[in-house]
Order: sequence, then C-alpha cells, then structure tokens
Amino acid sequence: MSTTSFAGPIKAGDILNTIGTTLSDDVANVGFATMVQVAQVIELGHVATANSVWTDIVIPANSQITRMALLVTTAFDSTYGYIYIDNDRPSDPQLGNIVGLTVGLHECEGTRVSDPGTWKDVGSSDIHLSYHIASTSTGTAGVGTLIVEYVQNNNLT
Amino acid sequence: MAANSNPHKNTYNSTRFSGPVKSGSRWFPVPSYDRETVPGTIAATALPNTGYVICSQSAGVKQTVAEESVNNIVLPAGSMILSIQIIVTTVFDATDDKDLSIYCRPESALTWITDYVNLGAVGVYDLGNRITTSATANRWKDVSYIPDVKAGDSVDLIADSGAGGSQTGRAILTINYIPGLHLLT
Repeated sequence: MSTTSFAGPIKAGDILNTIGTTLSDDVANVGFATMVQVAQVIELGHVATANSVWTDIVIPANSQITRMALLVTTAFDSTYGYIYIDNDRPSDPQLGNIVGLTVGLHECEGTRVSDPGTWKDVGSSDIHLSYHIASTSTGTAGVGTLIVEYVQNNNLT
Repeated sequence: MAANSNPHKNTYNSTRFSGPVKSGSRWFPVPSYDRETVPGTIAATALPNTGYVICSQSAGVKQTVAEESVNNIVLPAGSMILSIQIIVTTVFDATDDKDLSIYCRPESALTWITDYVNLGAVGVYDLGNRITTSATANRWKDVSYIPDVKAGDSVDLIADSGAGGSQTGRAILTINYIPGLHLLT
C-alpha cells in the first residue's frame, strides 16, 4: 500500500465558488477532508508535569481540532487516570484531559476541554502535543493510543 | 429534475488512491529526537506535521438472528478504527437488548469489535462505548490483530443480532478508519 501526500488542505466538492443563490447550481459546496494523527500514550514514567513527554503529533498552524480521544488498550491507574494533553507552550493552558481508567474509547469532550480557543484555531504556528499523567497516579501499566482529528488550516480566527 | 436524482452526477468524479492519503507541509520523519524533555531539543517546525485523511465506509445492516456479512465494508489490513456510528431507521427489538454487535473475520469464532448495543429507538448511535475488553480495543487499534488472518489480508465485517424480536430492525453502519496503519501487526 503506497502513500500519497499533499501539502494540503484537501477539499472536495463540485461547485468551487459561490456566484449566485441557487443551491446545487451556483452556491459553493466544497468541504475539507478531516485529518487525523495518532500516538502512543503510556503511563509508566510519565506521571506529573515534570515527566511530560512529547508525542509525535504536530498539528499544522491555523488548524481546527475537532476531536481528541484515547483508545485505552490497558487500563490506567485505578485511582487517577487523567491524561493531560499539553500543547508546545508549557505556560499555555492544557488542551484537555481524558479519563483512561477503563479499557475502551474515551472522548475529551465537554468540560474536559480546557482550552477551547486552541481547539478553534491552534494559532499561527504549528503545535507539538505532549502529555503527562495526574501527579497522584501510582500506576505503571496504562497503555493507550491518542487520537487527534483536525481540519487543516481552517483558519477560524 | 427527477426525484432523488443527484444534481451533481455529471460533474462528480471519484479520485482513487491505493492510500493512505496524507497531508501536511512537512513530510519527512525525524527518527530520533529528545521526547523526554519539555520543551525539548527540537523545534516543532522541524518535525513532520502530516496527518492521515480519515476514510469512511457505510453499509446497510438489518436485524437477523444469524450472523450476516456487512456487504461493502471491507477494511484494508492493519487499519485503525477511529469511530463507528449506527443510524437506526427502523428499531431493533432483540431479546435482552442484544440488538446488534459487529465482529470481523477471518476467524473461526466470533471476534467482536463491538459488544451488543441496544438499538431500541430510531436515532444515531456511537459505538465507541461498546468496547468492553482489551482484546476488542486492540482490534480497533489494528483490525488485523486477530487469529487466523494472513498478513496483508483485508478484514471483512459481520453484523450479528441476538435472538428474539420481530427481526425488522434496519440501520446504516458507518466506520471511520485510517487504512494500513499496522500499529500491532
């Protein structure tokens, strides 16, 4: 299986520009392809802010994050399973947290999103995601795959 | 214009790739850098920022007691499932709310990728919360992480309803995935 890469963003639709008011005729219907990057998150050795670790996820500038989720294949510590997703500016707010206490697919949604402004638009430079586990966690076994979906360069600011 | 005709049918074209399709302004991987130190020793602008285009397949499913192949949904080897959605248009009513589960083959026995879900009302359902075991989660992570599958073989999906009920349930199953990621195989 070969890979095809574009600078992007990738869009599709057969009416590229709005030049009138008639749907299906002259009103643009182009949408973005949603992109995704994934990275492994492990509990061992990455508890507390001081032990944050980079993922290999780098979101392009001016992208809109549409989803963050964690596919937990081995449950995290039984008492504290929060996983914080930081951006590349440690002084900035965290993007959110996800509870990984049980095996399954866990969404970062609602009030778990701590920085909706960055979700709306990651800003004028690329952001590099890191994570750490709640500092009171004592577990070591947790394993998950972080899923980050986004619209590349949607530029909503 | 005839009913249900697509106004774009003369202008739509499909562009097909063997895939996966990626997009980003920097493509080349950096095999080794300091991941342990934050902010670290490498700038974000030196790292690749390419992501995968999310692929999607949809097909109709129906309530039947016997397992039934989900026609037209076949995932490439090593794909990662990101989400599964079911749009219920006619309610399911199997015994004990065991309305529908999804599993994959090849394998001689049931290999669930979702446990049974209650589809007792018309609506849209997210099956992400129906991952109940580590083995099932690993199949989402890599659909080829199942016994009896040969390297490189595609994975077929099967829908299964529990016993009982009217067997009149109807729905649309949609699976979003990254093709050929091979996180475990």
